This record gives sequence, C-alpha cells and structure tokens, in this order.
Amino acid sequence: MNKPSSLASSARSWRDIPQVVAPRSMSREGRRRLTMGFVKVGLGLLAFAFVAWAGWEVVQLWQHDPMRLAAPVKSDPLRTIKLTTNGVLDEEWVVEKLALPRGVALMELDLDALQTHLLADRQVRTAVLTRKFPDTLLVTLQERSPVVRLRVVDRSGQSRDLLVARDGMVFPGVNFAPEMVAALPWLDGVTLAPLKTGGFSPVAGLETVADLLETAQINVPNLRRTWRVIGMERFASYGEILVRTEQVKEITFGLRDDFLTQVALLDAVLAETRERPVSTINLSLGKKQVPVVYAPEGAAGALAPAPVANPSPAALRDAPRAGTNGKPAGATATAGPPRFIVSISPNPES
Amino acid sequence: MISRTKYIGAVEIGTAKVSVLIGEVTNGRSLSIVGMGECASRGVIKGSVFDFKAASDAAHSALLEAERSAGVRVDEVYLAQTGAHLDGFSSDASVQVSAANNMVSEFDTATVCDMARSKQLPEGRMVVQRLRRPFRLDGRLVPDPDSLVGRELQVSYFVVHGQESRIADNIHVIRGFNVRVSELILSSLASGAVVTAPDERQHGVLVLDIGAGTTDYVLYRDGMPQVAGVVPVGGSHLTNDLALGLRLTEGQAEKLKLRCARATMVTKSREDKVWLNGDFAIGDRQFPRLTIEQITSARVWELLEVVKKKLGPAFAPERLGSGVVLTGGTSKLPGITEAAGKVFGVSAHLSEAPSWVSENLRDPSFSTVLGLLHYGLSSRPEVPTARSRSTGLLKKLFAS
Repeated sequence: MNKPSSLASSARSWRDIPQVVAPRSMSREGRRRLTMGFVKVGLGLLAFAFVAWAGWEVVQLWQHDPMRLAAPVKSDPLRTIKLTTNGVLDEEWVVEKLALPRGVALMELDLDALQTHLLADRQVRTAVLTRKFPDTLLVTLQERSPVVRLRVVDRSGQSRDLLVARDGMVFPGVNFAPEMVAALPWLDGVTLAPLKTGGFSPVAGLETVADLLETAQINVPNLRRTWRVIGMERFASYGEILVRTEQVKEITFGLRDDFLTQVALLDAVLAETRERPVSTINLSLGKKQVPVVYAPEGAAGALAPAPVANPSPAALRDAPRAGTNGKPAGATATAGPPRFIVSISPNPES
Repeated sequence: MISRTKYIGAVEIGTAKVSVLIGEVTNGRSLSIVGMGECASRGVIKGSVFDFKAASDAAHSALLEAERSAGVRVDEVYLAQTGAHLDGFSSDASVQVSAANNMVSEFDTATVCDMARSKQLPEGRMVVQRLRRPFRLDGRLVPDPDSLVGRELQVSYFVVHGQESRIADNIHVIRGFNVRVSELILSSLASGAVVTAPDERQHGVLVLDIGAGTTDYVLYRDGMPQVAGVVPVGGSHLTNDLALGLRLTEGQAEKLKLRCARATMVTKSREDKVWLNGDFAIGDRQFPRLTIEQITSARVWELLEVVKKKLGPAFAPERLGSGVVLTGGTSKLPGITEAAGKVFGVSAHLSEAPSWVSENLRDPSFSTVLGLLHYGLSSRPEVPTARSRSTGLLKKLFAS
C-alpha cells in the first residue's frame, strides 16, 4: 500500500466523475432509452402546457362570457316537460311556474335554480328535476296535503283563504277540489308571522291537530263532518284544542289522554245529551269526569247554523295578531250556565 | 400507509462474465430479487475495461436480459468496482476532546473524521471508498464516542483509491445504457457483506473473492472492514499456466482445469494420468494428474501468499477468530480451503449464501452481485463532516 506523503484538503471521489455520456458513445439500447426519456419529458411538457392553456381559457371565459361555461355541450331545445307527482299539481302549473324561455336548450337549464323556484311554493314538499336527452325535462314532485284552512285579511282589507299542511306550512293551494277544501275545518287562534321571502312561517302544533282530525275521521266520520273551526288559542298555554261544531259551541280536547279515548268520550257524551242542546264539552280533564254545559233554553248550537261555505273565523291580518282569546275551560264551566257531570264508563265502547 | 417500491440494479463487470440482478426495494427496507441477467464478458482484463465497445455490448446485454426477466426498467444501479489499479492506505487522525468536562461532542467526532479523510491523493487517483475503523477514545475501542468522557479521540480510515480513468470507464459503460450509477462499491466489500455474518465480522474474518481475473479481499475486525484490496490474479491465470505448462490452447486448458485442477496436491504417482478430451480422437492425449496439480496448486499457493503479504501487519492469525471465507467462481477449485488454511494458519471454509437467497443464486460466483444489493441497502452513511453538519441544521429548519 502506498501512503501518499502530501496531506491537504479532501481528495476527489468517484462521485466527481461526471456521469454524462454523449449519445454516440451509447449502445443502441442506451440511445433508445435516451430518446424515450426525451419523448416522455416532451410529452409531459406538452401535457402541462395543454393543461395550463386550458386553465387560462376557462378563466378567460369565466371572466368574459360565463354563459358559455353554463352550456358547454350543445343540446336540443327543450320540448317536453314530464311531471310525476303524488298530488294535484299538473304540467301546466309546472310550465307556468318555471317560466322557461322558448327554445331553451336542455343543457342550458340551471336545474338547481329551477328546483329552488319550485320549492318556493309551499305546496311542493320535494322537487327533483332530471334531464332526459334529447329534449325532455322530468319533474318529480311530492306535494303537501292540507289539514285545515284559514282566512287572512291583508292591510288593504282583502281577505284570502289559505291551506295549512300537517307540518304547519301555509300555502294558497292550487288545483285542490273545491268540495275537498270546503270540507276542511277552519283554523282559529293562531298567529301568523309573515316571512321576508313571502308567505308565512309554519304554524306550530299543527301535527297534533292533524292527529286529532285523523283520529276523528277514522273513528267517528259523521261527527267529524260537523267540525267547523279548530281553535288553537289555548294550545300553547294549556295544551288544549278547541273544536267548534254545528251542534256544540266548544269541545275542548286535551293532550293528557290519547285522542282516540277523547273522541270516544265525545261520541258517548253526545249520545247521552242528544235531548238538550249542549254549549260546551270539556274532554281535557280525563276519562272519569267530562264537564258539559248545556245551552240556555231556546238557544241553538253555538255555530248553528254554521255556514260551511262562508264561516266566520278569526280574521288574521298580515301583522301578528291573535285569534279568538278564549278563557280556560274551568272558568267557562264555572261561569257558564248550570252544568252537570256526565259519568262515562272508562271503556269507550260501552 | 402507501408502500414505496423502487427498483435497483446491481452490476458486476467481471473478467469472465457480467452479472446483473434487479432488486425490488419496498419502503427502503425489504428487498426482493426480481430479475437476473448474465452475459459472457468481453473487453475486460483483470477487472479493467480495455475495449469499451465490447464491454458495453456485454454489459448492456446482461442489463437488458435482467430488465426483461424482471419486467421493469431500472434507472440506477449499484456497480461493483475491482481491478489491479485499486490501492489503499490507512489514514489516521486524533483530536483532543474540546469540552471542559472531556465529554465527546458531535463536533469532536466530525472534526477527527474530517481530518482523517482530508488526505490528498496523487494526480489521477480518486477515492473509491473510505472504510472507517472503530473510534478509539484514550486507546479503548468505542463504536460511537458521542457523550463518552475521554481526552483523546482517534479514528482511522482505510482509503481505497483507484485510477480515475479506469473508474470512469466502468461508469461510462453503464451510462452508455442510459442508467445512472448511484453507488460504486468495492467488490470485496459487496461479497463480504453477504457471505459473512455480523458476529464473524466482530470476531475477525478474511474474505477472499477469487474471480477469473482478480482476487478481491477484505479483512474484518471488530465488526468493521479494516483492510481491502485487489490482487490481479484469478482463475484465468490457472488456465493460462496450464496452457503454457502443458502446451494447450486456452479452451483445452480451461476444460482440463475444471475437470482435474486442485489447489493442493493429493496425487502421489506420476502414472495417474488423465485424458485431455477422453474421446480418443486425433489429438487427444494424456497428462499426468500430478503435473496438473503441481501447476495449479503452485499458482493458488502463490496467490494466497500475495494476499497475505498485501495484508501486512493488519493480518494477525490470533485476531482472525472466524478464519478465512472463500467465495467467487474460482473458490470452487477443489482443495482451496486446505490451501488457504495452510497459508493463513487459520481455519478456512467456502462461503454459504444466506438462507434468503434462492437456489439459482447460491453459486459463489453471484456473491458480489448479491452483496451489492445487500451492502447498498444496509450501509449507513458515513459520520457527518463538520461542513455537512451545518447544512443538516438548515435541513432541519426547512423540514420543520
């Protein structure tokens, strides 16, 4: 081993040898690999340049003509709108509601905006819009069914009737059969809060009212047909729903017992008292005692003759305003005419 | 976690053949050998390229075959370096521990390493590999002196250097395939890494990789390589000696060597003869087996003596607990272990490939190329220099 005599800065390493070889010194395979390497780099640069150019074009288009981005694919003009619904709305209503310009291309439709437009009508619960090429727009709706109706009077004194669904949504109601609407009881004692976007905020507690009406409709349909006004003035405070019928001025339902029991009690009480007109029946105190107040001699039922087609509900203005402000049931019972307690068997069927 | 897979090639451009392996490295830890290529070497004598075109053709054929068998393309390789031009020397340095409490700091370690490494080489020579020996702190061996207490810290490097032009030729042969050489590793170190176990290296072992044109050796002690080098004598010299001594062609001598050569003499009688071809054709003749054994054993004995001489004072039989391990194509010569045992005065045995090596790669001639992959993956970077330490802080800053 030769030991170098001179000691100085670090010696050169094999890594200092430049690993650059001229193509002529390469074998054929080496040159092929080198060429492929260049081709790959070239293609990569080309791809990068293309992506950059495409991005720049999109930005330019976005800034100067965004409508062209909305319709990148030319398609046939819209010719047909097909509606599938579980309710009463028809294609004519959809066409009118969407108000699409004539000859608009299918791909130009902004489905999100159109869906929002349809959902603005509270009668529509859900809306799904689908393009069916080449020229059809499929609209699938789920609608709300009305449970009660109410009348509002605006600032100009004009009154209009509105419908209320089970979830409390208030809507004008389109295409419903007049006889079906006429059969709906009126809603009283609620306060409507107008929304900035139009319409009213949902009415609270309507689901409970809907349950009562449904129970009555199923079990005592004849009785239910006589119900004219549903009062909710004591719902929030006392948990009571007031029903005014053609025969009885005020029937009070409570939330303590289930509605089936109360409806059965009501049926039994009316059967027991059919000889004298009754003014009020309070079912909210439980199964064992039902306070009944008879009407004064010679007086007819509270709402009788109740004008079904033209009832007189509490007038509601656009500004929040309470409906009929009734007293608690107990107060009515003690302050009213003489009453007697009808004893009812716990078993509704008896 | 996404596993990162990388393909690395290992290339040995030997005098007799070019061997290429392709390893699949997963997450920098696990290695699977997925491709192999071999080609008879051309344009290489004693481990050095003398015909660039021929050597390139052979190397590229082997690389291409390996890539095809692996079904992948490699972009970088570990290259084995051997050749008569390689030489080495020890470079020692020592520093006084700088801290007042005599606790060795990273700065002391880096300084002493810098000093030991900063030896200039003669013109035209360049470092192939620096083998760091264990640190000595006040004379006692320590694997890592950091935070130990002492006064004087010493380190020694065995620097292997070679002719710049020869090294560049080897690299350019690979670059001609448009593949980068990422590591240049001494053939002996590569072989030693795969044919010896860590405890053997700890006890002291000498690895002799006897190829066709060169014999690479490395002496391990205290778990680290102490001395490495190359003797430009190999199996082809046995063939050449036979050809000259028995007046044969090189091909005939090679056949005779493979059939009858031995590293030690066992034949007693001159009457014991062997046929050249054994086909009784015109030109077929007999040779005394004793003569063949005399020729080959003399050369093997001489080769081993040269290695022993080159090891110099570094060789001490009493500090060679694990003896001598023989590998390489010529290590298959019968009687070579006995010869090595007699020359070095320690036990000698043939190398055994590790259990993870598949059957077709267990031949000793593959030990270098196997070791390239193994050594390249398992070798740790050298102790950081004072200069690189400062950039390390920058790296940490940027990393955070």
